Amino acid sequence: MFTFFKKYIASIFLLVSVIAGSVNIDILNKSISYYFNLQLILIYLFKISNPSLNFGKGVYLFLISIINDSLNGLFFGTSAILYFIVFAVAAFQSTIKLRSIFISEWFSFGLSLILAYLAYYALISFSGKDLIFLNIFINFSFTLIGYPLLWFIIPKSYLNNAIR
Amino acid sequence: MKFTSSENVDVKKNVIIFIIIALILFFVDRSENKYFKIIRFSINDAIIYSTVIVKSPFNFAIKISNSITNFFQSKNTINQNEIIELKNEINKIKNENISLRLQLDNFKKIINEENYQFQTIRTKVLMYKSNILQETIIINKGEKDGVNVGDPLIKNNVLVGKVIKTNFKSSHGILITNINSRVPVKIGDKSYRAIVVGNPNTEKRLNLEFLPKEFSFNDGDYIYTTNINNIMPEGILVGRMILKDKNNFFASPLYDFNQMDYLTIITMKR
Repeated sequence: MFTFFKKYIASIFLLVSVIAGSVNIDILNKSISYYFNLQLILIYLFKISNPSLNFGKGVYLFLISIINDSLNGLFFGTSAILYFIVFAVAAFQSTIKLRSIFISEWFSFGLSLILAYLAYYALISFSGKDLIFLNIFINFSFTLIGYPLLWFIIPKSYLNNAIR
Repeated sequence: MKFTSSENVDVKKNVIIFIIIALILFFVDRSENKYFKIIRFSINDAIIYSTVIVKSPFNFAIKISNSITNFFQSKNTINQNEIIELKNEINKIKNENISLRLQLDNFKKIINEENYQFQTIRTKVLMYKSNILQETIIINKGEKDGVNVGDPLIKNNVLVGKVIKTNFKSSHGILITNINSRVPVKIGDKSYRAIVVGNPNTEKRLNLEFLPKEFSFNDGDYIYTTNINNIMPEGILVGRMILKDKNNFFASPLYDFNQMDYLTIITMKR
């Protein structure tokens, strides 16, 4: 049971973060999910820690993205594009590195976030909705800052053993 | 992008496949295709109610902890809760009174205007989701209950938001403070027409667009909905004008964001 849990920990963490996003925890009158995107950090962190992690060949990642879209009232596929951009950059980064260099990982995470938010901005604009640039900037900044925090908080054994 | 091992070639292939699927899904969903709509409604309902079930033990634990806290509270504190409830009731009646007076004034001004009859549905807020795009509320009534996209959501006769997406047995709504929300309104005794839009910088203010070239407000003037093309019913309170000086004013919403456990939907037959 514990091995199963460890194997699927990345998908379980991701699913819990999506569902728990509807719990109202406010900071300065804004919901916590306004400040940072936990899912993007988790995807990158788990993939970079264990290059063989593939989220059930991407199926779990896709299904979780659909759940996120459904709960947030977004068009289906919006979150999937973000998730797979970050996943792709993490996969690329994990293949080119010889050893773990935190700064370079963090930098490429920033790059993946820029790509993901650009895609998000394009998709939302295409949906005919207005998006506040400041909100994106705040979310981007805190997500970037949140990466090292989670890197320290989540035990390495969990990160390395997640393979599905 | 460079992927070295055969395993990573598979990853690359999967990423590309899923991004293509996601893009197709996005455009199909956006096109409001009637066959896909049924699938979307079913998926959304299944996900929303499953999430509610998954979250229910946690909500139950929170309720029990609140009940225990209340049990050990002194009698005075419980009375305080009753006082708050009564205050809410008074506010509701006051708002209804203002709203009815505004509607009556309007009907006096406009003779022969069609008097719309609207049906209301009481709904429970299942979830509140917030992201960088919007703050969404998910309610437990959908298309099968007669809810349509654009229907106003009210609480104590104050406009809270409107429905943006419907499923079979659930719907998504946005608050009037959202920048994507647009509500036709009238302001004050002179009934200036405008569009209320959410303020991107703060939730405590609303922007007013399409105001007439010449206008004069009084401090505390009520902002209330107006019926244009049957988009909104007439006379629901939205906010009040706050005047600092003649040229410095803003609109402030009236709704109490903390009390959104139950809402009322006004179903607009379009």
